[in-house]
Amino acid sequence: MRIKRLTLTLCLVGLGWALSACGTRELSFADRIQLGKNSLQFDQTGAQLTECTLVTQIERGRSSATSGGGAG
Amino acid sequence: MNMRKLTLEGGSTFFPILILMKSHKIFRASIRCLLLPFVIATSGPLAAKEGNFLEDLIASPGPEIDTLDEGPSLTYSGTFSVDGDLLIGDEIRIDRYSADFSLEIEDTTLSLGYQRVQYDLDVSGEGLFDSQVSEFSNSASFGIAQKWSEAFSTSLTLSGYTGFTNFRSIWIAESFEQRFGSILGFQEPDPFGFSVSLSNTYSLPNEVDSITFDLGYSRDRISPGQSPESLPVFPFRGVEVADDTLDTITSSITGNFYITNLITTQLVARVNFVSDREVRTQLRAKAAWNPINRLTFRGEFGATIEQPEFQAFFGGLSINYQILDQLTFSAGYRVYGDTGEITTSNFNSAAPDLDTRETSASLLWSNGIHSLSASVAFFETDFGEVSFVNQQFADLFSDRDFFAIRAAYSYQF
Repeated sequence: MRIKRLTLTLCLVGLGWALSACGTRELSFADRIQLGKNSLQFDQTGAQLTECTLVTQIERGRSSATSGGGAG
Repeated sequence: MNMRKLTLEGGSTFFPILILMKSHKIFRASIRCLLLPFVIATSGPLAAKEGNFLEDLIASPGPEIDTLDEGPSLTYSGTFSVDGDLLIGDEIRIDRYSADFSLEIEDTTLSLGYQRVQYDLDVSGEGLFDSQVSEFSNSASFGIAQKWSEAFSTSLTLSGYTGFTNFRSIWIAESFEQRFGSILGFQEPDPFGFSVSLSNTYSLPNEVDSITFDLGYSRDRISPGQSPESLPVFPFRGVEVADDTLDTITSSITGNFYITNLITTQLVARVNFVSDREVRTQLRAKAAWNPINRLTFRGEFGATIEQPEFQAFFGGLSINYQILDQLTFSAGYRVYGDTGEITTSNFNSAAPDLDTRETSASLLWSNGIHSLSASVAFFETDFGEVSFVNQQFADLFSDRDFFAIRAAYSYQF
């Protein structure tokens, strides 16, 4: 299990490193507008977020919060 | 985001304040935040003007304005959002309402949030009489963020809540009250908590990719596990109450990267340290692909692991289609599975393994200033076999079909 987790973490760090290396690429003004589209973003809030958030009441492993307010 | 300019006239009156503003960036930003409401509310020598200063100057037939006396220029923008959520299943109804406000003044952003959740449950179970239980929780948050340069920003968020944070805790607390409420040692639950988190974001040279480091601490007073006191005397003489305080340290790294101008990704690695528990690790990846102008495919997968036996896996796909310039339709399907919660000493309320499926659809209308969205979802839960020690919670952990609906409105200024 520990080896699995380590491998997964190393893969993720490696991927992140490779992607961050791409962060030096030049972007045109048109590319910036394209990448600024709401549908290409991930941290929407308010009306831009179109998910029903209460399902995290049930899926404890999905939520990022801890077990606050829980009895078990 | 629309940015507006607010110009102060008669800046020379505030010469000492201007000296302070130039002395330190944080102090300068703080003073500007404090001054803004006063500036807006004041007329006369200290007047607020919205819009382009030059246009106003040309259009104005009034007295000449000496540009040397022009005060500091504040650029600001903000968002106000309200939303409501409803989740209905057999014996369970949850209503959630929230309001959020954020104001960005030049490089500083202040944010406020409030949320209220109402729970209505019909509690039942082995050895229990059926009862209707209503509870609510209130939570509030305050955040301040500062952009130090084009590449680096920091945010600090404080939040707190009172009341139960999930319906399961209420169900279990009601069960304990019915069983042990009249016995010596029973502890009436009074949950509350607070948290503080610090976030640093580094923008990479292309100004689109970014890496964010988060560190947080929270303390929760939870509804404690309660069980008959384990004394060799029959009948038992009291109730043994488990620890009701949890300290949690959370840390995470989030990377936002674009692959091409049509594909963006987000990677998250999160590690939580909870008192009296093993480390919980979560890895999550998201991607969005915009192959043609109006169509976007989105995907997500992730896993959470906690020793000795908890594992959760989840993933989903969705499609976004821009029907009209201001109207977007989305539909999605997500699955989730876990191996059941970890049973610790004195806790006999851990959930068995769980599989869920969610099918959702939503509409978003936005003209850049006003945004309105409505979402519906069908959510199926499929619990595993309840163990012998959990029989009293068999009704709580029974399979249910939920219907969820959410509506939200945002205003940008």
